[in-house]
Amino acid sequence: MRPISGQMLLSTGVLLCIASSLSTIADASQQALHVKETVPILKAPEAFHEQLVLKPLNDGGAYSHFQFTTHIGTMMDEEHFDGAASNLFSHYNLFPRSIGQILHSFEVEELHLTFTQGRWQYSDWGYPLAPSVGTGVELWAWLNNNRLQAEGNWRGLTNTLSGLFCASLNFIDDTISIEPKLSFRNEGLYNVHSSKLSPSNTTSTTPRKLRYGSLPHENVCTENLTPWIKLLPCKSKSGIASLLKSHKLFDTRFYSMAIHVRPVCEDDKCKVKSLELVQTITTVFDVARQDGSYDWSLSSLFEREITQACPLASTSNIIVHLPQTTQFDKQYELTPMLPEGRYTIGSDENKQEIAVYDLKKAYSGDTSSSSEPFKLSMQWESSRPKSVQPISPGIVAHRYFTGYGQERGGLSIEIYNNDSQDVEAVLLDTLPWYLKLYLHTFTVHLNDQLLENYRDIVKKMYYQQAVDRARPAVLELALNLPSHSKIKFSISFDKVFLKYTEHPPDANRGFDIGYAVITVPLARQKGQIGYGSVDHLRIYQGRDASLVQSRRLSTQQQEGNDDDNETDKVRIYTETLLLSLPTPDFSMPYNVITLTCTVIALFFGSMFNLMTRNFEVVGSDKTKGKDKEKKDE
Amino acid sequence: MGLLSRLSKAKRRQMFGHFVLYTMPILSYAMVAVSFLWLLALPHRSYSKVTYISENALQPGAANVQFDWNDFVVAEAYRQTVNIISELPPLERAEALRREFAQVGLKSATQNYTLHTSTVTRHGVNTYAIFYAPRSDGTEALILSAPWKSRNPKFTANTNGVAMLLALAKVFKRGSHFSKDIIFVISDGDTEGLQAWLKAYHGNEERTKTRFEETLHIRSGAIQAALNLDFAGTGDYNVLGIFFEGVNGQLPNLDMINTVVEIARGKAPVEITLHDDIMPYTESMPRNYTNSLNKMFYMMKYQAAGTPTGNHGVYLKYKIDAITLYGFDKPGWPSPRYNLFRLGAVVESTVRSLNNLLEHLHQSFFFYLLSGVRRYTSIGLYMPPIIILGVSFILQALSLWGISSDLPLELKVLSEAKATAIVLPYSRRSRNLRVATTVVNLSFITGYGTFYLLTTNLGFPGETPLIKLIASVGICSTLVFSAVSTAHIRHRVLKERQIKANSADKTPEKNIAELIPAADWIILKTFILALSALFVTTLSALNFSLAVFIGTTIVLPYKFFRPCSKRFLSAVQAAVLVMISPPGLLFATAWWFSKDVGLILSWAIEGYEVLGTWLLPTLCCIYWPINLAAIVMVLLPVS
Repeated sequence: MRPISGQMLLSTGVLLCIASSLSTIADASQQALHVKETVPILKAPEAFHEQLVLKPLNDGGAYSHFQFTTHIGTMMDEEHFDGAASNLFSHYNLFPRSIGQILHSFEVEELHLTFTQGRWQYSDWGYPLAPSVGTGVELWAWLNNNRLQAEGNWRGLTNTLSGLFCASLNFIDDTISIEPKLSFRNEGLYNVHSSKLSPSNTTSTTPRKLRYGSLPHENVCTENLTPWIKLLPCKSKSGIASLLKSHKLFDTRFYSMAIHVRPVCEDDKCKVKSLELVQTITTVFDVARQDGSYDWSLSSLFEREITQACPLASTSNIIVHLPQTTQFDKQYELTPMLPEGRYTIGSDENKQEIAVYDLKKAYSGDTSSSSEPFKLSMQWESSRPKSVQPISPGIVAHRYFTGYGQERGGLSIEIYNNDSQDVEAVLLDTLPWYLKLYLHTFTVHLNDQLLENYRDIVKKMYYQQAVDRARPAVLELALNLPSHSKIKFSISFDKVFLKYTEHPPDANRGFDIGYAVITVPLARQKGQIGYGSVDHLRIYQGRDASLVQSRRLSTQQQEGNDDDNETDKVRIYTETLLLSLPTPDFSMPYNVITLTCTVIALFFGSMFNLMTRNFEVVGSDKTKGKDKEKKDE
Repeated sequence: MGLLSRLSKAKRRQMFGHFVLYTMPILSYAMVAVSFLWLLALPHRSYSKVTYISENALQPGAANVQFDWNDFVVAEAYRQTVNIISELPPLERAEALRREFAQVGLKSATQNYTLHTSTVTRHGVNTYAIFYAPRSDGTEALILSAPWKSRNPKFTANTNGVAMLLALAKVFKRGSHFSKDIIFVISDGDTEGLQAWLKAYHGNEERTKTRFEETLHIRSGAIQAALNLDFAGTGDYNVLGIFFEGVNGQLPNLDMINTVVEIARGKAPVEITLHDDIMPYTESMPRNYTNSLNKMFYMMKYQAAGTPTGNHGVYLKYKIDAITLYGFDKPGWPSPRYNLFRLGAVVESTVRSLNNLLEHLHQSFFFYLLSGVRRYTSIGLYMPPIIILGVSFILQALSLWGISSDLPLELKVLSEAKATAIVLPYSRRSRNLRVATTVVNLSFITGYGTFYLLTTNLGFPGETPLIKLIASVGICSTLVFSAVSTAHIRHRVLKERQIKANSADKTPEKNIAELIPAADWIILKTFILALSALFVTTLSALNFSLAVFIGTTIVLPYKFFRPCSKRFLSAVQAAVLVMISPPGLLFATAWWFSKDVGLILSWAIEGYEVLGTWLLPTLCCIYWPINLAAIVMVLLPVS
């Protein structure tokens, strides 16, 4: 264990004693008492870290990644740590109560929710730091299934989150929810560690269920950002979050925001475990859009300035990835340039220079400087380069529909492996029930050659047949992608003629079909932003670097991967697609219905009325009386 | 009693039958007249309507145009660049264009294609680039395309069009308000270049012996609409023409045309017209019937040919609404000239309008005839005349069919020196279908044979379409001669046999039993008319203009012609029928447009082989067989 962590533990110990005594007095809940009997609870302190990573991109863009991490934790045996469902949420300081309550009441162990607007251009921008960049909304969660209530909990979770984030998450119902078998495994350092350290681990005995759903056509805007900001301890009042101005954030080429909740270990031995809430915002600014200049500054990007670090934050850093000067044929100037804040991460092959600005340090003590905004800018000596050189990330995937007409079509997924070695990957594709897939038409092309036997490529195949109006079709493939290859999967389908009530109001637009997800372990490469995992950021924080390292090693050992190369599981998202189904002319039935209803109302109604009514001559009282007498007789 | 009543009933039926069968031809001729007059009424001002924007989302001209003076300067600079590029060979040219797009900051690539038809081999390279709309999900896309070759024969390259594309790429890159990706395509060749690109885009690229189409490297979403720019040369223009007829007469949604017209009237005033017609007639000039008729005839001509009038035509098959904007300079037109500045505004504004679309274009008409840029006749108004024409064929066919057998026979009784006809119930003449069916079947086989001959490469030296056509004509005339001569011989043999039989046996009962069936030509004509009705009405739903042209050509000859006892008249009729047969029409077209016959023929064959137009198969497999049968019919013995 490194000295910093030791020091922290020591200080936390002191704090914990106070905190635990306070908490026991403050909320003497039954659960707390129950736990107290078995093990001594030491409640870990809540902690909040804020970070901003900036990186100039090859095509004149500026990539920004905000990451806000909130920890809430306890110190106890792993047997008694049951994630979100535990007694963690008896008191809230930094951790948002709205999230805590959701996790608690729906027994959510792990939660990942991402809102994305735009497409991530893998071939221009490399891989993102954020784990998910699928267009639209993606929600997946591991649910405790103790009382076999996962279905109800999932429904409750989607509906509650829908209300919390002002999004149509409640449309993630049974018809689009799936349970991936190979993709979307547990994240979080805790799970990996515990399974490695103690084979007889309680979490594995607890039945858990994975639920996954996505809405490809969900628009993301300020109404989703506002509740997201509300979860932050400092809101957008101070610190890095004060840069979040919706006007600028939504005038970008790509925008994605997410919350990830997962259980993690706070130390090597996993003595201290905590629940981690990571909130990220990822944007790609088109800096060169207006005048072709690559220059940017914090104020030009965000139109806001940082005047102080968030007082509640433990760390507050701005990290700039310095461009590799070989990548650009010109020099740049970063101001302010701190000589002590310049680090190099990675080995010589995968070297990446970064500049770290510690806002806590910049604004500590000196009260006079706190009023002065933090200025950061990057200037280039010459104008933009002549042409954009596409970088080729290891694995790139594209998906598109083939064919035309409204009767049938085809789906093609192309995966390019630009690596010099074979890569194991998992492909997950979910298709709604109104595409009638024909599995016998599934073909594999390797470098444009049709493969008769694709066993070498497709190791495992999991296929769930769609059920009309009940569940989607799921195709999950465990793949072995040969080096420097292009693999194309194609499958044909029939388009279903929907009932007329099943068409959306904009029927002629078509139906959005969500992305396919490819999960690959990738070796880290030069010149790329980083990999799709929030763990990546921990590297910047010295104290967690070893932890991430050990976690990586453990994953590799688990998978029997003896390579020395550092690998990360990256999820690659393909494009969303638009499918046009046969659409009836909606105005015509409407006219017919109107006309028919009028005819029925005017003529049939009155005629029927006349025919069924019993008409009687209204006579004088005398005759009436007679009639009555007759009847009586 | 029963017999009497039955006889009188039969008498009444016969009278009714007579009435119906003999008034039907008159009625059918009246219908032809009505149909012709109705067709002529279609372009009339009081019959057509003024166009309107049906899809409210389009909002033409509502967006502020970003294309400003600086962009005009950029466009002019690009014009110089394109001029230099146009000197290069195709492969390097495409690569140079790709690099230009890459410098703007777009993803760009090239696509090779090779095409072998039975007559020629074509090779070309397309360049395409995609502007990824910021923050869009990329499910929808618009296309801006420019063919490298202009339709204007005076210029070698579509210089202004390509320069405009590059300049607009730069303008679009600046904005962040696009909801759809914009794909820029610069296609090589005539239409086959864009067709190869579209096929590859939809994953249907072929790698066969006859076709090779390279797979696309970059893609976008579902294409919603396309705008094709054809601005030849480097000069200014004074008129903007709209071309919109696609393969087999398919039309884009009328809102596409309406949007451009609306923008060219309001946002960026440009004189606009349909096609590039010769007469100086534009929106601002006084309207009269002749002009409208001319305009509509122009459109129907293009639609009937089935070959697209520009690159827009190949989009329509993929449910992509597209039109071509064609800039040309007509001396003598009193309209102000416009340059790239005005043009940029028109195109950008149109793209912005299309970008507004929430759904695929579906609100407005897909079936219409235009008699001016702002006047249309919709399907409900133009279909009746052609249907009436079809019905007139059917009425005459039914009448002939009835006359040939269905009328009850009469027994002429001579009593008290007065001839009275007694109608016999249940007795009819038998129909002899043998000659008619044989002729029809054989002529259809011949038709298919000629089609096969014209479209296959047989591989003998000096093989040209014209030689093949001559061979087909030979086959067809052999058929006609053999059929006619056989029929005549058969007729003579039968007659002799009858005379012999009559002289041998003179019992009247036998006479009745062996009644001579109706003449062969009547049955054959019935078949011809019925087939024509089927043909014309079916075709009218697929390609209205072609149906109108074919229907009006054949209706009078087929209805009116019949074998005459005077050989000379029959020969004249046959000559007329030969004139309206496909080879006759081919020569007439060649003479009218003063073009080479072989050129027109290879145009038709190429249209079928490259784009899949129906003109050649329709003419060979349906039109020609009926025509052959008609020629045989007029030459049959009268009996």
